Amino acid sequence: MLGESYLLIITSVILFVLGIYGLSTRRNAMKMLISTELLINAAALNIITFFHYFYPTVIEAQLFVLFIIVLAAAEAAIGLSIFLALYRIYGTPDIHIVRKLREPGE
Amino acid sequence: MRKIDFNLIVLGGLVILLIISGILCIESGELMHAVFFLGVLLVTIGEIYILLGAEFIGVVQILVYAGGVTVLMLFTLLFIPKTRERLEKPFLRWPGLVTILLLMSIILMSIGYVTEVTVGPVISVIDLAQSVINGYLLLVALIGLVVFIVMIASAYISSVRRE
Repeated sequence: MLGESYLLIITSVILFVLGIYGLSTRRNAMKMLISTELLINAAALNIITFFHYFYPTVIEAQLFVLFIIVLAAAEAAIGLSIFLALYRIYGTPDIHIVRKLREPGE
Repeated sequence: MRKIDFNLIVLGGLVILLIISGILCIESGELMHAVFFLGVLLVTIGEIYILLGAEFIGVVQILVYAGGVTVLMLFTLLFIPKTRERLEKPFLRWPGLVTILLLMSIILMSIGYVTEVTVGPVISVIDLAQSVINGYLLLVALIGLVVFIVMIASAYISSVRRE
């Protein structure tokens, strides 16, 4: 039982670290969005693991994860619409071009 | 003879699949492949939730995340033309990797303080629904409002065009 909890906690840490790595080393807006999804899922997996193995009678963990899933879906919808607008205005999904706050032709 | 823990074996297989699909969805150059591996990762996480006794959360994860968000991403990718910019190049790969490995080692060292686990009854969907109605109805209404605002905002942002 302790081995399973260790396994899942270490997995969620690895997922979280992968998300941070993708968020810090990628320039594509879609890849950054995918990395954000990885971060959110790592946090949710960590919550479920901790409450399942250490506080099994507490019901709030599943509720919070449910809220996390709903809000993450909303975040993905906003992120994808920003990605589309970015591509429509600048013609590229590269975040560095947007960071310069100017039109690409100027 | 030592008894084989099948639960641990299944969990280990799912964890290996999870980590491999996570690495592939960050490292694959083509965005369509990255979204596909993200879908695999989300389904695997849903299965782990089901194994941990959170069946409702697992089903919601598979339906909303793996079914909804992944398809939304695939349709968004279909809107943009297939140019060379869809194949993106990473930057600051090695500094990022070293920083992340340091962070991971710090977090993993803190896990060493975990010494014992407790096992209790599995929480059913009825308990979850009663908990929502009794204590968190306002929060659910607030989240519904947020999702409604997000829907309008995403429709507005998608309609922005270059002047």
